[in-house]
Amino acid sequence: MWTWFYQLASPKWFYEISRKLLPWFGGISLLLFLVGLTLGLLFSPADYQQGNTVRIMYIHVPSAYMSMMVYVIMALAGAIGLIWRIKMAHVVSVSCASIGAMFTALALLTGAIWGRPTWGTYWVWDARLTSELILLFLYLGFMALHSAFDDKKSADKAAAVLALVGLVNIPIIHFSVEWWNTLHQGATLSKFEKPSMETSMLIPLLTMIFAFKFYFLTALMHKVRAEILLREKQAKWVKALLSVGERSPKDQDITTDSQILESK
Amino acid sequence: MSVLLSLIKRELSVVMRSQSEFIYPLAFFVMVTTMFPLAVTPEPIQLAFIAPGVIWVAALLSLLLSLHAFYQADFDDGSLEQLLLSGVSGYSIVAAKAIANWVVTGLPLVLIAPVIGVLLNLSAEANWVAMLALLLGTPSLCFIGAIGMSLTLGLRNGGVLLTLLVLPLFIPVLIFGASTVEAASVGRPFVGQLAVLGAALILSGVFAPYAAAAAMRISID
Amino acid sequence: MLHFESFAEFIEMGGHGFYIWLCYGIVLASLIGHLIIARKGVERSKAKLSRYYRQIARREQMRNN
Repeated sequence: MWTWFYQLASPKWFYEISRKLLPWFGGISLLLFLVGLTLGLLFSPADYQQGNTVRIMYIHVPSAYMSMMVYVIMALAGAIGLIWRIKMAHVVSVSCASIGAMFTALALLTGAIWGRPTWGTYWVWDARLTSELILLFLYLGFMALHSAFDDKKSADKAAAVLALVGLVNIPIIHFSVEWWNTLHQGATLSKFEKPSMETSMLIPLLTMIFAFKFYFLTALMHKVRAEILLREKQAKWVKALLSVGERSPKDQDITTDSQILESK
Repeated sequence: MSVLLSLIKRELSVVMRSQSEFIYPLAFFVMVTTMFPLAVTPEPIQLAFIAPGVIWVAALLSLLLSLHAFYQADFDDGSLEQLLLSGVSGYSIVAAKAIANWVVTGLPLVLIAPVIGVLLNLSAEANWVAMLALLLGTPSLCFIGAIGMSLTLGLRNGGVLLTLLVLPLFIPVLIFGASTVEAASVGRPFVGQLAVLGAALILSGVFAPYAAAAAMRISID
Repeated sequence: MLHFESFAEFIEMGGHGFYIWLCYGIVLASLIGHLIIARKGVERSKAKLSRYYRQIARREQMRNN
């Protein structure tokens, strides 16, 4: 049972199993997107007050949800890498960052565009929007810090520390911004109210959330694979992987090598 | 405890040698706050309105600028590494640096804040509250800043990156600090916000040195 | 079941078409773009590695000669 667990830490194992999993994850993601978009755009009702703009919810909510989930994954992976010194954990953590930053930016953009026809304004400094904006800064800081180090190992560890400090800070920021907003009683308090949703809206929303999740896993796997290759360039399996297709098949090489050894 | 005290004494004696470290952040604070009446409006009522925010942002930026003086030199000449190797805990080293940073930069800010408050037309009561809020908030900023500084010690363009990293972490203190003074200036209760500032100080004082010490070890390797 | 009567109505979205399609356009373009970049990343890594191995091989050759 534990051998399976240790396998998780092996870059080679991950590279090989991701090659098999990728078509599936990608396919499922695509399918879920098609179903979710069809249901959301064509078959779900318009909102009583907002009209058709409510359809933006089907891409805005999954983006925001994923932006936060990915940050938690990024921080936890970094923690695992720090505590148990597992390289793969750091690779996953670092690969999460740009995807999470994209989700955050998309959440902010779609939210702003949604706000224009519904609230009359692109931006409001309410608790959720402000916290989400700061989350974007945390992602960007993480990526900037990691790329500033020359040594990958130090870069991984420093970024992991930053991610963890940020993780602790996220509820604090949200809480402080929420209190800050409610203090100014005069200001427009925009609390996004999610009433108990009817099924015709809930199903497309859940479908899209899962579509985004599988998308995240697909994109993450690609990024992790690219990163593994670069980091494991000294490993035999990587060298073998790249020399296949360039020269003769592996078997012939082995015979040639042993022939050379015997002749010496 | 005595280790901590001797470390603090060391920090202060190093800094005292170049007295400009005292003056620059203070001068920066005064100049930045002075720019707002010139740039925004000299109208007393409106000045009083923006005063809490202006004082806090200026204090925050001044502290941000003062951070490197306490960490960079020791890192560059290797004495930081020597201290860690000699068995002194990273926690104490960071705590000493943060405390010294506050004594040299934060405390003067707190003391000169009432003068700035008068310049920005803050009421007398709000001025006192501003001092108190800064007294509680500036040490937190020093502790939190230590984390960002330790992460960027070995980097080439560390200074610019430091700002990007540390500002999101400063924001809760900024928000509660500014709202404390704002509440006092309109006569609303402010003790709650002060309590939060106090809590932030305790939390950052206790936990930030751990993160900063870990970051320091990473930077030194 | 279908919410819209005609394709024109679908695009129009009750007057809010611009906002809705702008959002969907940005999101879909970003998601697809990011995925393509991620996939190309593996190829780029392989290319970088091939160059690196060739360099090493060349250095070995020069040392042996």
